[in-house]
Amino acid sequence: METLIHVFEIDFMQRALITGLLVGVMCSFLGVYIVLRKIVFVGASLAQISSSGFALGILFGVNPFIAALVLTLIGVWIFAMNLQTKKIPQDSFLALGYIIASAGSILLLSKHPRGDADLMLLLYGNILTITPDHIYILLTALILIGGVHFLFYKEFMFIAFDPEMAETLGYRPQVWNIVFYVTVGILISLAIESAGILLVFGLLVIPPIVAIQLSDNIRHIFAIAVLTSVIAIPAGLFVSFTQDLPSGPTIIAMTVIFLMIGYIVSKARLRA
Amino acid sequence: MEKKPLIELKNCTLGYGSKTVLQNIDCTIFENDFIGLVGPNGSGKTTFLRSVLGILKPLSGTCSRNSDKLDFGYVPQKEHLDTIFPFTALEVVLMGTYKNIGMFANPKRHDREWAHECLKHVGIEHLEKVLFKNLSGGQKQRTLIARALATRPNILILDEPTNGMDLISQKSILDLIAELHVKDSLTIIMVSHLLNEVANYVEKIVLVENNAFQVGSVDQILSGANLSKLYSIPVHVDTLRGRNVIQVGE
Repeated sequence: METLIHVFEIDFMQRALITGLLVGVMCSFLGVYIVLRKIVFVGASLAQISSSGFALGILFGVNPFIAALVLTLIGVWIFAMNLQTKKIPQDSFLALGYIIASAGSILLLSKHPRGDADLMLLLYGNILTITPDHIYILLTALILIGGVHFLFYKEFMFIAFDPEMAETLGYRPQVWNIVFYVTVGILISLAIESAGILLVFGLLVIPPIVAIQLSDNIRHIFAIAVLTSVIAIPAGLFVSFTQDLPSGPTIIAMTVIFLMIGYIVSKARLRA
Repeated sequence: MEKKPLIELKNCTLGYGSKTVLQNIDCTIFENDFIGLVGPNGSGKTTFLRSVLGILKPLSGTCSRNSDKLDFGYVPQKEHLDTIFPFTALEVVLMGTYKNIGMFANPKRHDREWAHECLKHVGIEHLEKVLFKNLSGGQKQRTLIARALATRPNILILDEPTNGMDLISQKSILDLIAELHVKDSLTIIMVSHLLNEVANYVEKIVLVENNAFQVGSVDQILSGANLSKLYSIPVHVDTLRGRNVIQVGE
């Protein structure tokens, strides 16, 4: 216990913890919608598109966050247009976004002097070198995105569950979907720089799956998903610090432990 | 007493962008009508329905609506709803109250009581805490009808309400719909791809088939001569114990 307290007394570990918790709470909350709506690949594609925007920013000396946000919002707009045809389904377009953005990031940074290091930064993030300014930006985004989802919870849920009926009551599902994707896009763009693609995508997907296994109550699912992140992030940071492991993958490993516990508990409940 | 027209489509062309789906559509829906909208998949039923709902504007022609009287309660095909969402029957019905609750607010106690009343109206109030995904096909359909009733409609639109049900559940749902029409004076539009299914319940049929669009009373549409001409194959319509039976072929 003393070691745990000691680790989080260190300045950069405190900042890492706060950043991790902010990213984790936001990602696992929005991730519940992403998993329930079966649009996990949207999360993966947007994360990759955001990273290529980040790479563009580095290459051309533009603020990487702004470049990532702009490119992500373009991705949101394209995905929301529903490009599906009779021959090519929507998930193929998502895959195209993912592949083009991945290749683009590598190509953009291949000729940059710090290309390899920047690519690693995009993939794993650097939660340990986060600045106080970035924490304030994340906190502001958390409040804004959280506020939008708190105010419009019933609209987002209704449109996710039954857009057809919602439309007959005067709602415009496409507009609500764009608003939803924009909040996801802003979150991903902000989170990539500090947490990296792997951790952001992992936190969007794993905690919601843990929660869905453990509960059949929608409010409890949101709560369990957030709680999973809130426990896994400090645990992962602590283990990564004491065992000299990369922080992002260690946090993911912690969430996977919850995933296994969730699986065992849900199977046990089915047998009972 | 003369029925008041609610929706009038005059010489309408319906479709999406440059794609025409239905042409020369003339159809009037009156207050307290009980209509069966019949046709195979891909015939244009959904396009017609979207025009009636006001979601789709006609490409040409006029669609006049008696706006003071139009409150739609829509019952989608239950197969379109993803049961991964862990909603109880009551939570599903509550969605019908969202329009009246408005933005920035959540359902209150009286909204929950109203949702409970709607479940009671369709005979499944005892299932309000059961997850929607765990309900049988008939119970799911009743929940969706309750949700449509929660919007306080005067027009109930049901899309293939008996899809995938056994004979007993089918009859039970059709009886419930007929009861809502009579007791609650609801105007009803019921979509089906089976002429046989709706023929003994509705009063009027809108038939969309083989590029033809026919509107009329059950007797007008359901005559052997009309159906034989439409399908280019001998069709006989007989009555058995007071119910219409359609037989295709010699």
